[in-house]
Parts: sequence; structure tokens; C-alpha cells
Amino acid sequence: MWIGLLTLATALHGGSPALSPSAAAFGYLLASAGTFGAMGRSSGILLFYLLGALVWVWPDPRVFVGAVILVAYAAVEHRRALAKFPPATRSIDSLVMAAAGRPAMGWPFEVLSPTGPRAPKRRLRGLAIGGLIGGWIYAGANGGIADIMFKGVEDFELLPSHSVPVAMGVIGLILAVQRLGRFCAGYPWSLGLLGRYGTGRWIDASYDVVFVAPFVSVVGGTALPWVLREPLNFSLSATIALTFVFLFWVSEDWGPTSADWHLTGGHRIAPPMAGGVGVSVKA
Amino acid sequence: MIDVVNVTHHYGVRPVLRDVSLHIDRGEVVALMGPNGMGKSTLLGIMAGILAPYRGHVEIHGRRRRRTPEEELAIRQEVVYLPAEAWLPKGRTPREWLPAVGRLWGIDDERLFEHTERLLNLFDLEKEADSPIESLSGGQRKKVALGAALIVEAPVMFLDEPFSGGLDPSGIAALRKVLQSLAARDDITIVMATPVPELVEGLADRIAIILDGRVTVCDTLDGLRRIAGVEGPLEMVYERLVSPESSRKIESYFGGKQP
Repeated sequence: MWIGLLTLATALHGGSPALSPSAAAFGYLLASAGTFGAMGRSSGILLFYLLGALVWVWPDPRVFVGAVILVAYAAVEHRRALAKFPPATRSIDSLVMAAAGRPAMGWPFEVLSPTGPRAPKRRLRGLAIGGLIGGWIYAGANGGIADIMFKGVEDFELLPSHSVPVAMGVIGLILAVQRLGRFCAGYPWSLGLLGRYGTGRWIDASYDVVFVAPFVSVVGGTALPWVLREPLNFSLSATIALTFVFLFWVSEDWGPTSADWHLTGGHRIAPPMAGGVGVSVKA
Repeated sequence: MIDVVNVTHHYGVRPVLRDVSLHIDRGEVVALMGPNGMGKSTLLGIMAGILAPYRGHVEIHGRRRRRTPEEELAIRQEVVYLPAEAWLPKGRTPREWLPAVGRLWGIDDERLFEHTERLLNLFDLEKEADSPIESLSGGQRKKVALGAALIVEAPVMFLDEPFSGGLDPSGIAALRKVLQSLAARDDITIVMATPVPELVEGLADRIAIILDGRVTVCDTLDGLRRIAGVEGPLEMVYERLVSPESSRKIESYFGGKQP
């Protein structure tokens, strides 16, 4: 799609002949960035960022120079990635079982093992992803391909601004739900609503800390665009971009990490609802 | 060394454990006994880390459960928990799965493969070793689960009703001998919940009796005999301590005549 867009942009601008090879290189770089990302290499995110810079300067002929440099970088990075092939990722079988809420190694052996949940090292991953999405949106809206990316919208800034808080609030809600799913699937609260009522302990901090980031994600996703647009008078594209940065920062980087919470939170570790076999024959 | 410190736990509004404290020395075998629904499995689950107590905490070898990730991971390296109803991956075979569990605890591959064969032999599972777990009977699955608890070679074992779940007599005898052998070592601590006094006698160093969410007594068999004022097997002592009315109830059931 991007190659098509960029080639179209070249044609529309009657740009230099350097733009078409740049567009082809763009496709290669996009696929390379996806490959590096899938292998868990941070160069994937870096490459996505730099591609955003290409979008920003498009159709300036300097894009050709940038594309050549990035192709060289990607070639080197491919060699590095191949040297560490296969990457140290979990097996597909294990991922499928985990996605289905079924510990691949049985319950409770896997969830209580010393090689259980580990904290990811990439502490600012959310900020990087949010910056990436926000950067692309901003570059797309204000860079050289804005007229194609938003064809049909006469002016990006004329999009109804009151709808943005709602849309970003929905995105915040989606991120909140996926974070809650990642944290709480298989780890329900130890003290349920009835227990809280019975004991008078309405807030169980050791468990309820898990709700902080999702709450901020939903509220912030709705409130931040309004604050940026109305009192601070940010442009619409900058507002959307910054809200994306904020949402991913909150939902990915705010503590506790899922590994820390799974190890120390005030939850119970529940058996799987389905799949696997129990010890008794009826299971 | 295991310290259970003032643990209270609720299920909904119902208190299951009430201010339970218990000290277990390294190398001890302690059996948790008591009627159904009195909190044995809950206490074991809290010690094993599957449940977070409402109040109180558990320390194992000086480290507190769920305080920091580092402490928790260090505890997990030394602990294995076998619930009464473990879940096993149905598509795996015992010969595949047992070493896989051992790897989670970082046991050396060579030792794992050798230990797996010994466990399969111990529990008479050689013929089923390469069959999917889902095709095994309930008792055979229990043996595989017990094998998983043993293969990790953890110095602290929490076993919830290890003798139940359809184990055949030879399986019960084999497990009992294995636990007796482990109990003889002074570096293995075993805490198990079981409702069967006969299986505990001669195996447990101390027996903790749980009634209404409280550890009412935790002592050696001789100590329990003194407290109950009864000489004889644990079954009689247990009956006197836990349900002194049971003889009268049985007599009442049979219309005033002793069966």
C-alpha cells in the first residue's frame, strides 16, 4: 500500500526519477523493519521511526539519500539478525497455549516455576511504540504525502475536533482492556466483591494497583486531546500524535510490570478453565 | 524453615483461615489434617504461593512470599506444589512432559532423562510412557503428576492429598516409600494435606489439625496421644481430637446398636 502511495505521490508531484527507486526501497525497508520487530530486535522500531522521517521529507530528492543509507543499515542488520537465528522467542506451541489461557507445561507447574514470568528489559517500549505511531500520524498529516494519505479531507485540521476525545478515549479503552487481559487472565483477585463487602476492606492495594494504568488510559485518552486542543491550542495532528504517545506510555510502561505483578500481586493463581486434562478422569 | 505468620483468609464473606501461625523446621514432614472444608488446602495453597492471604504472610527459608520478585523467584526455585487437581497437557506423553517440567526448575538434561526413567519404573508407567496423557486413566495421571512434583528435586514440597486421585495400592505404597525415604533426609521439608490417618502414621514428624480455620494442635503422634488421652493408632487419636461424637453418631445411625 505504501509503495503504491509513494509511487502515486511521485507521479502527482512530477518528482525526480530518484523517487521511484526510493519508493521501492521503502517497501523493502518496511518489510525489513517488520522482520526485525518479529525477531524481537529493537532495530525494528528504530527503522520504523526512520521510515517516518522519509515520509516527512517526501518528495524532496533528499529522500533518495536517506533510503540508500537505510537500505545499507538494513542489510547490515539482516546479517546480525541471521547470526542469531533462530531468535530466542517462545515456541509457537507455547504461544498458542498461553493465548488460550492454558499453561503449556501444565498447571500449576509452569505458573509457579522459577523460570516463570520475567520482567521485560525494554522499559520504554510503550513510549517508543506510541512515539512511532504518533510520529507517523504527524508526518503523514504534515509531510509530503498528506494530500494522498488524507485524500478527500480538504484540510486535516478541519476534522471535527470534538470527535477526537471520543475516538482517543475508545483507543484508550481498547488499550486498557488488553492490558487488563494481559495482567488478570488466570490471576483473579484473591478478595472478591463479596469478600470486600464482608471484611469492609474496599480497596486491596496489592491487587487494585492493576487498575491504575487502565483507568488513566481511559480518562487520559479522553481528557488529554481536549486539553491539548482547547486551552493549549495544539494542531489536531499534534494532538492525536501526542495522545498516542501518552496512551502507549501508560498502557505499556506504567508499573507494575506484568512479571512483577504476577510474582508479587495480591491475586490468586487460578487453574485453566478449559484445555489440558485434570488428574481425575472426569476432567 | 517455613513460617506461617498470622494468616487469615476469606472466601467471599466466609473466613476460611483465622489468624493461623505455624512453624515448620527444615527437614520436617508435617501432615495437615482435619474435616472437609476446614482450610487445609487453602493453607497449603497460601504456603505454596497460589493464593495471597487476606492478612498475614508466609516465609520460606527466611524469604517472604510475594514481597519482591527476587524473593519470590528464589522461593520458587526451592518449592514445588502439587494440588489435588493438577492440570496436565493432554497432548504430551509422560516421557516428554516430565523432563520438560524439570527444565523449568533448571535441572540438568542428563539427570532429568535418567530420573524420568526411574520415575516411570517406580510408578509402573513404562508401557504408557509414550502415550498421550489424555489417554491415561485417572490414577495413571495422578502418578504422572506426582512424578512431576518429584522430578524438580525441590527441597520444599507442598502436596495436597498426594495419596488420593485413584492411585492403586502399589502406587500408594511406592509413593509412601518415596516420601519416607525423602523424610529421612534432613534437607527435604514436606507439608501435605491428607484425610487418611493410616497413611500419615509413620511418615509425618508432626500432625497439624485444622478445625474451623484454626490450627488447634500441631504435635508429634506421641504428643497428640497425650493431648487426646488415648493410646493407639493415629486414627483413634484423630477421632478423639476431631470428632469425639462420631462413635455416638454411628451408633445412632444403626438404631442404637453398634455395627
